[in-house]
Amino acid sequence: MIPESFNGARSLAFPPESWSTQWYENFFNDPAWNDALLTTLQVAGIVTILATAIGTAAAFGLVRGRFPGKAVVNALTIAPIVVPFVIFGIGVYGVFLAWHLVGTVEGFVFAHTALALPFVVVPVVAGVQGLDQRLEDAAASLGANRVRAFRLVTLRLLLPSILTGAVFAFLTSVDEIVISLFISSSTRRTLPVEMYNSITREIDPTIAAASTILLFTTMLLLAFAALMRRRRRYA
Amino acid sequence: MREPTESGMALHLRGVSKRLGNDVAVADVSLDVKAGEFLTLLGPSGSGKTTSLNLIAGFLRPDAGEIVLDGRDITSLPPHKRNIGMVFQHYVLFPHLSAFDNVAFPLRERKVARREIRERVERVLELVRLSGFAGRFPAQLSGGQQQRVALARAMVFNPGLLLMDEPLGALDRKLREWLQFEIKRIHREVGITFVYVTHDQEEALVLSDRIAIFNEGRIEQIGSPDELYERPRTIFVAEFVGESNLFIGPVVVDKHGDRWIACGEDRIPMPQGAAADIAVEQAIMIRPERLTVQLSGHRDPRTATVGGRIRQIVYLGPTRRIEVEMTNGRTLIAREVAAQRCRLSEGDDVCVTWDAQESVVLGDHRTAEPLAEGA
Repeated sequence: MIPESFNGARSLAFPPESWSTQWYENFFNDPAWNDALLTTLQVAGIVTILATAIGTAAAFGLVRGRFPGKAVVNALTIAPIVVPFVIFGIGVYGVFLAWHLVGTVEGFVFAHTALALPFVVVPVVAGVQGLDQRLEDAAASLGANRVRAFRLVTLRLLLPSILTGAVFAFLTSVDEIVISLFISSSTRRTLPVEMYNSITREIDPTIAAASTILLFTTMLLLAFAALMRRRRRYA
Repeated sequence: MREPTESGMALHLRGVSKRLGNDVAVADVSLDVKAGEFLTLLGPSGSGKTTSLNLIAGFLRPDAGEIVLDGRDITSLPPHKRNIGMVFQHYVLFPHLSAFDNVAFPLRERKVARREIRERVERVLELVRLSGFAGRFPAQLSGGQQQRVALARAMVFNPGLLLMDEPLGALDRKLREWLQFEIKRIHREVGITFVYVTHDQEEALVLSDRIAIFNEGRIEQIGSPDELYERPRTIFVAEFVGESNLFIGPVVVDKHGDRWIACGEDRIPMPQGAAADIAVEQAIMIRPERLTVQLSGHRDPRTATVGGRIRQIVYLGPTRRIEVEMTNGRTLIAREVAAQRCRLSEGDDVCVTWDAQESVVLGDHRTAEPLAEGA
């Protein structure tokens, strides 16, 4: 796919006979690709922030909270991964039609946040469970109030788990296609949806360029997540 | 936040109680700790000593009673405003901070100037003999080193009171002994009031000015190590601090007016002047090193004499521990200086004697039921 994206000819012949960056130019100049890319980045950005914030709070509640039905809430949190995407997509489509959210940034954000939440909750739950609760007592005995103890110690120590969750939330949103297909409109769609549409319409090496960009974004972020996890060991 | 004085602060607990779940963890505990004193809370696990420490630190609120530090009621003050240093059992260092930054943490929270922080951290690391380790992270330090960083961190902001919760519990014996003397040296040098929790009675004897013995959420007895050892007031204290030989039985009086405890077939003379009601079940205690084990003996009202057979002799270096099985089947422990040549061997029929005045009459009895015994 990567050599194809630098193909000089207007076909997906392999190996390419000449080289060019014209498909990258095309990708960034064609408004259909461009809008899809911008929508994807915008949605993924908001989803990352929302899912990370809600997921982290939920993880604390699930580990430290004591409330009836904790097991049920725990199960519900990971439900979006378990339910088949097609079923989830059909359900979301029905609701979003009624709420006029099909083909809107808000629509993608809501659907993707629900999908991304477990990817934040799972690592952060593990992080909170591995945290010595007496660390906050120690900080308090040394003169830090609750907010400062939480910020300087608890949150700081959970940062690798939270960032791992954030990376996976971002990737979930960027890669998601099944549900996005249902809730896309002709004017607003995400990059994977546009790629799918493009391949069903025509054979155009622009899709190779789009794939390469998506591939490198994903790999870069996964490398970052791996780096964060290694730093957790503290020397 | 106010900067505390260099010297230790007096601490008072008045009628402090705390329930944890359905259990009464601390029941009506009153305690006065003098400024600069080293006080140890000693007791078996679940006796309320750690809960008491958490109440003093402010991690728990008492259900009743008050806690006064340096004349100020701190009962409802949150922990971060108490200015009390705390060393935890498992160190609880911040793993993401170097030794230096761990120790600097309380100073940064108090907005101390950067240069002063550097000076004070270096000084306290020197005090705990870790000057070269400032840049290391907790994971790069041994258990003993981590505990000394924790100690430095708890002292660097000059608290008037330092709490320690079984700080040596996780360390091996040699290191523990060395750190005990280090802690004692530091206590002498800084003059802070120390309240120390342990279940290890030897550690308590080595370190403390005074020891409070905890049992089932209450303080059983409080006193200096030698008071607790020489004059325990209850069976619990006698058995918890050091080894002891107990005799429990009804008090009888002979024709000369001397009081004895009838313990099976044996008659154990009570020390003169001991107040004891006749026919009431009473306990007396004698420490193993007060006993003399001989092959033959004679009866004398001022000498307690018990017959038995040697079950075992254990050589312990400076002393020998001799287990004597009495005729009633119970075991008596004697200790003698091992430098003396041992004339005894296992299986010998012996006479165990001691000066009756050295017996300690304990204030409680296992049963309040008076036994009718011919006097």
